[in-house]
Amino acid sequence: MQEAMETAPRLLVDAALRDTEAFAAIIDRHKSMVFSLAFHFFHDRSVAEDIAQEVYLELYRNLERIESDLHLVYWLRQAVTRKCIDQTRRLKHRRYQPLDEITEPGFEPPQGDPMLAELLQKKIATLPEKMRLVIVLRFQEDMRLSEIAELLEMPLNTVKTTLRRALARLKRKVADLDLEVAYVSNAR
Amino acid sequence: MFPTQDELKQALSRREPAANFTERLMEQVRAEPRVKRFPLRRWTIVGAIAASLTAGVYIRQQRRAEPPAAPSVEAALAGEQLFETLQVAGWQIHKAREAVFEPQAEESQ
Repeated sequence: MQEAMETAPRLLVDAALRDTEAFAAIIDRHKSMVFSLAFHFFHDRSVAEDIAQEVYLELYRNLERIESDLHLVYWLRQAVTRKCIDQTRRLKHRRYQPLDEITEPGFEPPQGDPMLAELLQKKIATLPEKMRLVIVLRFQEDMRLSEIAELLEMPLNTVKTTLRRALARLKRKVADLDLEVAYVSNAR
Repeated sequence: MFPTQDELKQALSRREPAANFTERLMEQVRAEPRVKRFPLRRWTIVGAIAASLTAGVYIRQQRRAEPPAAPSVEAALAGEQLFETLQVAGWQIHKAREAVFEPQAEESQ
């Protein structure tokens, strides 16, 4: 998958020379990564698409600074995480109420247990922002903790602690839900 | 129940944005004003000119404020050499003048 993600250096050069087709090809190669990072952070397709668009427009303005494929992936991940944090602060200010998930063309439900996946996504989206970022980068992007530390500009030990606490919180949230489900079924 | 790593990975698997995501984005990209490749060039030139002018004015003021410097050893030697050369040249002219005009004076007497 990593190989498929890599962007040909030629594409980068062409895109930097304002070749729109080359830039469209770059968007296509990385859009699922960019969109999914924002989607799993907010659990909202509309917000995630807005963030992905902002990230790509910012990339277009800064194409000259991108040195290689790896640098591009790193740059995109960092830009998305920063935009997610900025957006969280803006939404908090506006007393944001998330919309219900709407299935659209192009929507691919995850494999395995879709109910569990949906539940986990919702619970992850309620974690504090740093915890959310660490969990999403760790399990969506399969990044090493040292890579996450570098990307988020956090000490490695802080990342380890954050991940441990995030998993513990998630466990509590899922356990609470299990109790609620058991209570409702017993009441019936 | 606690989600396993695989369950978390499945829940956080990558998704695709809407089918027309790239098209919509490219419309915005095409509407973007063309980025100036060297936006700082103009300001760099202006800065360089301003710095040169400031430096020129400063050096001129410094030169005016400083007392005239004493001549260097080389300049003094060159001055002496020039003076000697002029003396020799003057003496030679004097001799030549004598050689031309004195025989005429003797003839007239």
